[in-house]
Parts: sequence; structure tokens; C-alpha cells
Amino acid sequence: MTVDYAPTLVALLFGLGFSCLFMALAVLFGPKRGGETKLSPFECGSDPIGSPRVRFSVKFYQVAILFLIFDIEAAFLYPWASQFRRLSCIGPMAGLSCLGTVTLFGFVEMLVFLGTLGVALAYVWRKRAIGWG
Amino acid sequence: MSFDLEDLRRTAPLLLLSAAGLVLLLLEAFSRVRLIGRHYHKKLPPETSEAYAVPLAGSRTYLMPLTVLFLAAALGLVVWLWPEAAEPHYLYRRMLVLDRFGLLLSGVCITAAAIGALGAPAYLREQRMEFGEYYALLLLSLAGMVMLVSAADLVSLLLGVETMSLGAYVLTGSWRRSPRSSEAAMKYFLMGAFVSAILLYGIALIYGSTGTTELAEVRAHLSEMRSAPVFYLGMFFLLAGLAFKIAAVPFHMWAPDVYEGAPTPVTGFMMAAVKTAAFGGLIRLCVGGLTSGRVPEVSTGPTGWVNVLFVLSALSMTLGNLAALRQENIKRLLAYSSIAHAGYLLVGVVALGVVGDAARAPLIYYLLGYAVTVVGAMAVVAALAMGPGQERLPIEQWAGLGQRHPAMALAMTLFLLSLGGFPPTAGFFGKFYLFRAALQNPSLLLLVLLAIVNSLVSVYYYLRIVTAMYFRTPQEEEVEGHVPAAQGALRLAVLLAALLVLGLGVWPGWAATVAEAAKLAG
Amino acid sequence: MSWILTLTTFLPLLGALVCLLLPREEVGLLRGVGLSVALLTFLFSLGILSGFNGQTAGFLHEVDLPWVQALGIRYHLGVDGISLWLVLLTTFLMPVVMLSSWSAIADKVREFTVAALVLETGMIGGFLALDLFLFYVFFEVMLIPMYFIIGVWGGERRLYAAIKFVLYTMVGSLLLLVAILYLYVKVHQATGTWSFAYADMQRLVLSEREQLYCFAAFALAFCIKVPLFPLHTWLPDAHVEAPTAGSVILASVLLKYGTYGLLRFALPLFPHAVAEVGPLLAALSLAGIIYGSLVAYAQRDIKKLIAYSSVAHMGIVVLGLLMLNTKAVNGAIYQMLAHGISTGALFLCVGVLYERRHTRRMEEFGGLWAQMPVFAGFFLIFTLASVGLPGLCGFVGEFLVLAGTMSAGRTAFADVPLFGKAHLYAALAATGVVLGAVYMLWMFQRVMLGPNENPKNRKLRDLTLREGMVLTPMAVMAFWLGLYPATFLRDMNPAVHRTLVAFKEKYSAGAADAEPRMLGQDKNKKEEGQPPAKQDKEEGQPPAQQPAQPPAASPPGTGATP
Repeated sequence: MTVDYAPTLVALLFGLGFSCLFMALAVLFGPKRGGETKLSPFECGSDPIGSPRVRFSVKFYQVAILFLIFDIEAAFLYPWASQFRRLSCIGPMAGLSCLGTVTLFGFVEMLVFLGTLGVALAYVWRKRAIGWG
Repeated sequence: MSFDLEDLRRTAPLLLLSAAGLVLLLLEAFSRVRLIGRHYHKKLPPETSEAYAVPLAGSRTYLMPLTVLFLAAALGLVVWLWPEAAEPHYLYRRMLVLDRFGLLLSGVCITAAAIGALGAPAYLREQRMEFGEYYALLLLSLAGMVMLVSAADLVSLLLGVETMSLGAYVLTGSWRRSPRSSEAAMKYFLMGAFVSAILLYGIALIYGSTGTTELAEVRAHLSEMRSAPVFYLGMFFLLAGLAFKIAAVPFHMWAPDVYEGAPTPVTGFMMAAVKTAAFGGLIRLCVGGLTSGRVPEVSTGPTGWVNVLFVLSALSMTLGNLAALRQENIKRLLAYSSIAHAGYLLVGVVALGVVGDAARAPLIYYLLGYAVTVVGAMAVVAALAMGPGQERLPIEQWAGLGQRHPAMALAMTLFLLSLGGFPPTAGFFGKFYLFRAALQNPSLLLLVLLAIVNSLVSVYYYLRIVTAMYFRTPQEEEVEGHVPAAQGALRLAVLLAALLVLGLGVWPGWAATVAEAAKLAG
Repeated sequence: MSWILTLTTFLPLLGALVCLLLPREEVGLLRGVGLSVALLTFLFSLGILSGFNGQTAGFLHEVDLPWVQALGIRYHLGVDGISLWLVLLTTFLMPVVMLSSWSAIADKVREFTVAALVLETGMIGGFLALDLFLFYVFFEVMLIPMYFIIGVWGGERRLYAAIKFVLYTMVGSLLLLVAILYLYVKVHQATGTWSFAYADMQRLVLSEREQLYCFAAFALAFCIKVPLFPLHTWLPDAHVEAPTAGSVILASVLLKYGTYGLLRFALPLFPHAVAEVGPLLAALSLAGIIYGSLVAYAQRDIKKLIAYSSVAHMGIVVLGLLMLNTKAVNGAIYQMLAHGISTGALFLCVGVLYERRHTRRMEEFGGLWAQMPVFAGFFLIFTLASVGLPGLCGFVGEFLVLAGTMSAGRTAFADVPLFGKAHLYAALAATGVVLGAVYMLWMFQRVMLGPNENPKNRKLRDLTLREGMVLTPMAVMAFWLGLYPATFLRDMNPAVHRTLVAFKEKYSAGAADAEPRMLGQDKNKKEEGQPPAKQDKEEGQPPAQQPAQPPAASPPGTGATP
């Protein structure tokens, strides 16, 4: 029933409420001592030169995206590692030890995954997406 | 954790396609690129020739035959698995299912892709698309389709949709010289990403109300559903997501731009294979997950999916056809016609809900017929391009082709007649077969009548192209000395598609028998 | 001999494939192949005559093979006295048409030959098909080649005419498809088997309401094709714009599909609907006869005049069919043949003129008799045949239809409430025939008689040998049909009688209440799922001693030409 979702709603309201509350508190009670120096844009001590909107080379984005992709894919190793014993065991488990047959299943699975990742890396390398030239 | 090697064997086509995709990706990346631009264009004016003297991926001529070989092997595996798929086998902890329905639709997608791939190199070379990943993406996208049509779980369904779409996004934008192609890819990707989120949300809601993502389990839980509004919301989201993929009105907005902007062989691939696979997913979802004899409301109730799809079907065929009437660009025209055909196909899905299993074979037959026809039509469009960046898109440029390219014009006429539903083509028999199933329930009479009125409307614009090709005289001469791209393989693709369209129309029996045998699991 | 129908049907298609493979520069060779294939088809089609002995009421030379087993679609061809002559008319006309376009079609000869031969396959197959699905396929297959013939080799406004032709026909044929599908589903409900067989459809009894809807769809499809007033507007456009060959095929064969479809399908399948809306159709056909004649009289373009005369003549055919007695229906079929010959020949004559002068306006001509005496003789024969002069083909059919209409109230079908005003119908139709004489003779006078004033007409050549070879067979047939109708009526009569008996039986068996059922089958036998053996082929054999043998037309000799 819809009632079952009430706790979610409550959590949502709490979240919203608290964030609003603290922002309001800061606005209300925070000390406000502004001056010309404090309000001017800050750039490592020097005066800002030119527009803040500069065009970056697309390489930055390319590298950033590649990093993100491989990073997320690498993050997949953690859940795999935590389940590695379970994956390698056919049969019941007692704690971390396997009572049944131990197989290479989990290992091979990860090899396949890393292999695919390797293909992607090789492709990216050959296409000179990670070089700067 | 138990694991069955049998599962690997039973998903052989999927594994083969994925592996082949990776292999092609590596081959493409590590093979040497020859400069063939100048040699090929010595017939063009020198300045044009210089402009296009770029490294051409199309020069690696072994990529296409290799792709076709892989696809043929995948098709072989489908045939090999066919006998044992008579009984459904659930694979990978009931994530996928091996049944004949999924196999046959995979076969349709693979066939369409293979015919399309045959014609691709000539076009890519002609249009100077330095894009060797074409084939790899094709295969990986196909792997997604195979997963989609054999999904037994909402999660694998989503994975299939995503894998399929990612390939399609990139393929759409692969013509980097064309702003239209980039625009199309951007549109397709942004809307597609949004739709993925909606699909995912729908899955979450269904999981929330039934406690499972497995289609058969969802169906079993229909009677003890805990929260109807949430479930319905989830269902609508899923339907909307898949309706986007099949380009049904009102989720069709992307289709004309994308189909127009994408490179022509990709358009054919999307119209044929992506649509087929998305319909496969829709049928899996609706019949496998949302039909329960005990709780008919979810399917045939007032807010059931049958009614939703009924409305979508009526809208798609009507609006699609009306919009197509006004098109002057052949790819846009066929895009709107593709929307209309989604409407006809939805009649079949609605019939699946109302009439039951009797509508399954017609639907499969129609998908096959439509896939072959549009792939063929797009191959003709690709073959008739008049030079780099000059596709023959406005209909007036088709004037006089009946004389200048008689074989291509004849093939195009055949495809258009098939789309319009004239005997003896696949399109005619498909419509007949589909309407026959739908008419078994009188409540669908109205929808069938609407479909028939619509096919009448569609005849007008299909014949406009035929009219242009045969009845009008060309306005201007073609580029002097231009050699049309219609080389061996592209001609072969057109020929194959034409033979299939005719064969399916004249001897529909064998395909109908195969389609009848293609039972859905569960 | 069961192969003879298949051979006749598909020989032209084979010829078309051969032509497709020939180089397109070889114009002479292509024409030759086209003509020889058409001639060969005609010769083979004569073989269909074997087995007809004046007693045969049912279908001969039947082929019945499964086509799509799963859906109960069969490749089922057969010929009876009704379709026999229509098929022969088709195969007879095709060589004539091929020969007539020898010089008229100079452009894209290969495409023309292919289109004409594919069209021939469609036309022959449609007359022979005994499976409604198969019929529909042939019916549609005819559409596309004709569309090309009008659109590619037609006149100024050919695009408009071609599209109009296709769309008009498609409206009807799609409705026809729905109705066929509906019947197909109903046959399944009644018998448990899927079937498109004509025999099964004929035994299917529907409720009056269902009959009405299905009849409406069938009748609309066929009446557009006839064309029945007020659905005729595509015809003048199509005729005027089509090349001579197209006009001839259209007038002589394609229009016959409308009336053939009415006789073969629409009437026998839905007797109760016929009883209900028959008078309306009869009234429309009368309106068509008179309207067509009046409009024809107003035309300045010879071809358009002949096109409107077709509307009138085909109205007579429809009227005859609706009278549902042997005499009138025989007359209607006869009129179909006669119209095929006379109007086809008139279009050929117009083609001859057009090739010489590139105009069809009557005021451009005049006094051609002196210039082209042989041509004028032929033209006169066909004009008089079209008018219905005794001794020429037009007379017998019109006479039989009018006589049958007069006696409609007194025949065995008197209980069908259609014939209260039969005398009135006959009188009005006769007016139409008189009007026909007026406009045809007026046209002849304007073109052929009087002084030859236009200087352009002074140097016109008379018929060439080839044109003579085109027109002579037509003239022979015009006389044959006019002087010795027994040749044609002998085998037509039993089949017509059988059709009418079946109609009567189905009518008197009453309409179904709610559930569809089959004739000669108890409701409780439905579960057994086995349709009874096809019995209606054997019944209805009696027509040999049929008393209504129509009075053979005027004795030979009275119809001599001036």
C-alpha cells in the first residue's frame, strides 16, 4: 500500500527541512562583514585577468571522461573481491571456507571482464586518445 | 555460486557477436590505413579530389566480409540452437531465456544487419566517412538486441536496450562531416538517455510493488500486488520507454531527424533491427510479464497495457501516415512511414493481449518482412547517392531513375510496394496475416479498419516515389563522369533484400510455419 | 488437363521475365517476344475449351493445391462457362493489343512489354481463381502494371489519372480485403477450419446485417471497377490519358472485373443483402445508362465519348446481373464480351487516328471516309456494333438483358422482392440504348462523313497492313458474336443456371440468426470440424434441358453492314 512509503516521505521531508533550516540559520545569525576586497573575485592573490570563461582543449574532457570510465570499471573490482570466495565455490560455505568444490569461475569471470577492459584500453591507446600529441 | 557451462553454449550467438565486435574493434585500431582517396577520385575535379584525399577506413576492405562472415556464423548458431529451443531454457539464474521466439527475432536482426553491412562499404567510401568502427559497433549493438529479445528479467531487458542503443547513438553520429548527422546523434543520445532513466525508474517502481524484476515472477505477483498505483506507474514508464525505441506516437519526435541525419545504411539498420528488437522487448514485457489470466486488469482492463497500446497504435499509424504525405525528402518520408509501421505492428501487440498467442506468428512475420524491406530500400538510397555529400534525398531528384538505373528503380518499386502492402510481396502478406489475427476478436475491428484506411493513405506517398522514378523526366544531368557507388556488394545487398521480399510474399508458407513454431517462453 | 489453367496464367509472366533479361535496345526483338508470348498464350487458352460440351455447369480443369497450408490458403483455379469466355477474351485481346502498340509505344518498349505481360497474368488468374485470397492477389497484381501503363505512356495529365485510378481501385479493394477476411473468420467459426475456398464461402450463411455490410464492401469494390454511376469519375480520366493499349485493356478486360466480381462473388455470397439493396443498385445502373449516354453526347473528345459510352454499356451489364434470371444474366455476360470487342476496337480506331493526327477532338476531323475508306469501314462496323445493330455483337447482349428484365417479375425468382418495377427498368434501359445510337452515330458523322475541310486531313494514309491485322480479328469477332451467339451461350448457360440455383437455394435457406452456419450442415455438427464434401459442384447439373434457352438473336443475314 501507499502507506508503506510513508517513512521515505518522512526522510525526504527531514532532509529538505534540515538543509533549509541550516541555510536559514546561517543567513540569520552569520556575521556579515563585507568589503571591497572580500567581495572581489579571488584568483591566487593576483587580480583576475580576462573572462573567467576560457575554452579548454577538448583533450581535457577526453582524458577526464576516459579516466571516469576506467575508474568506474575498476571500481567494479571491489564488489567482486568481496564475493570472490563465494563465486569460486560450488556448494555450501562455512564462513569464508568452501565446503564444496572450489572452481576458477570467479577468477575467469574477472579475466573476461578485464580482457574486455583491455580491449577498450588498447583501442583508446591506438586511437591516441590518451596522448597529447 | 553454481554455474552451468550449458548456459554459455545456449547463448552462443550473443557471445559470438560480442567477441566478434571486440575483435573487429582491435583489427580496426591496429591495421594500417591506406590512402586511397586520390586514386578513387581521379574522375572528380582536382580540387574536390584533394579535399577528400583523406585516410579512408573503407580502405580496409576485409572488415566488411569479415563482419558478414561473423554474422553468418551467428545466424548458423541460431539455427543450431533452434531444435533445442523448442522447450524454453532459462539461463544465468533466469536473467535470459532461450526460446524460439528470441532466437527467431535474433535471426531477423542479424539478417537485416548482414544485408545492411554488405552494402555499407560502398556507401562509406562514397561519402568519405573515415569510420572503421562501423562494423564493431554494428556487432556490439546486435549483441544488445540479442540480449533484449531473449530477456527474461527487467534488468537484462534494460541492459539489452542500453547496449543496443549505445551502438546506435554512435553509429548515428558517425558521419562526422555532416552537421545533420551530429545533430541527429545528439538528439538521439539526449532523448535516449532520458528514456533510459524512465525505463530504469519504471523497473524500480515495478520492483517496489512486486518485489521482483523477473518477468515471470512479476506476472505471478500480479494477483498479490501490494500497490496498484505504483505498479501502474512503473508499467506506463516501461511502455513509454519501449514506445520511444519503436518510435510510436507520441514518443516519435526523434525519429524523423535521426533517421534522416544518420548515414543511410545506419538508418536502414535502425529501422529494421532496432525496431525489431524493441518490439521483441515489448512483447517480452507485455506478454511475459504483464499478462495473467487471474488478473486481467493489467492487460485488458481500462488502464491496462492493451488499451495504452491501442491508443498508441491508432495515433502512430494515423499521424505517421499523415505526416509522411507532406515529406519531400525520401529518408524523412520513410522515417514517417516507419512510425506508421510501428502503428501497424502495435495492432499485432494489442492482438497478442486480446486474442492471445494467435497473433504472435503474424507479428514475427511482419517484423521480418518489414526489416528486409526497409534494409533493401535504404540500400537503394545508399546506392543512388550522386557523390560525396550528395545523397539523392529530395524526391524530385528521383525523377527518371527508371531509365537511368533500371535495376535499382525496379528494386525500389518492389520495396515501396511491399511497404504499401501490395501483393505478392512480404508487406502484403504480413498485413493480411496480422489483420487476420486481429479480426478474431471483434473489438479490434475498428483498429483494423483504421489500419486499412491508413494503408490506403500510405499508397499515395509510396507511389509518389514510383511516379517520380518512372513518370517524370529528370530535371538536370548528374555530375559528369560520376560513377555510382552501386558496386558488387551493394548490388548484392539490394538483390538479396528484393529476393527475400518477393520470396516471403510468394511463398509465405515456410516463414509462417517457422514463425508459428517460434513459441514464447512462459 | 489440370495444368492448362496454370500454364495459361503464368506463361505471360514467364514471358515478362524473359523480356526483363533482354537488352532494352533490342526493340524489335522485345516486341516480337511480347507478341509471340501473347499469341502462344492465346493458343494454349483455346485448350481450355476442351471438356466443355454444353452440359458442364461446374468448374473444369480444376487445380487445387495448398499454397499457405497453415492459413488455409490454396492455389485453386478452375473455369466454368462464365469465366471461360472472359479468359478467352483476355487472351484474344492481348496479341491484338501488342500488335496495336507496335509503333505507338516507341519509348521504353521493354518496360511496356513486361507491364503488359504481367497484367495479362493478373487478368487471367483473376478470372480463374476459386480461392478468394488468390483472387484478391490477382486482383491487386493487375493494378500496378496498369498504373504504369497509364502513368508512363499516357497523355498530358497522366500522373493525375494514374494516381486517381490506383486510389479509387484501392479504396474498393481494401474494403474487399476486410470483407474477405471477415468471411474467412466466419467460415472458421462455422466449420473449425480455415478456408478461403469459394465453395466454402458460398455455403456460409451469415445474418442479414453481416451480409449487408460484407455485400457493401464487395459491391463497392466491384462497382468502382465497373464503374457504376456515381463511382465512375476515374474512368474518363484513365481512358483519356492512357495510351491506346491501356485503354483497350482497361475497357475490354479490367472493367469486366467489376461485373464478373459481382456475378461470381457479391451476388451469390450475400443473397439477402442483394434482395435488400438490389433495387438501389439497379436504379444506379439505370442512372448510369442514361447519365453516361447524355454526357457522352456532350463530349468533343472521341476517346472521352467512348469512355462515357462504357459507363452506359456497363450499366446495362449490371442491370442484367441484378435481374437474376438466366436470360438477363446470360445477356449481361454476353454484353461484357460484346463491349470488350466493340469498345476495345473503337479505342484501337481512335488510336489509329491519334497516331496520324495527334488529336482526338472531333472538330479536327470530318470527311475521312473518302480519305481512308478501309479504316472508315472498320470504324463503321465497330460503331454499329457498339450501338447494338442486329447482326453485330452489341445486339444480342442488350436484347437478352432487356428481355430478361421485362420478364424478371415472372421468373422462378419472383419471390425475391426486387422485381416489382421490372418493366419500368426495362423501359428506362431501352431509352439508354436509343441514346447510345444517337451519340455514336453523331460521332461517326462528325468524324467520317461530310466534307473533308481540314487541310491536315487531306494527306492521311489509310490503314497499314499491321493496323489491318489488328482490326480484322476484332471485326471477325464482332460479326461472330452477332451472328452465331450459340457458340458462346452454349457453355455459358449451364454455369449461369447453376449460379442462380445456388443463389436461390441460399436465399430460401434463410439468413442466419446470430451464429454463422454452413448450408447443408446442422448446427450441432459444427463441433466435428469437418466441412461436408464439396457438394455444390455436383448439384445444379440440369441446365441441358433448361427451358429458358434464350431466343437466339436475329437470323443471320439481317445484320448486314451497309
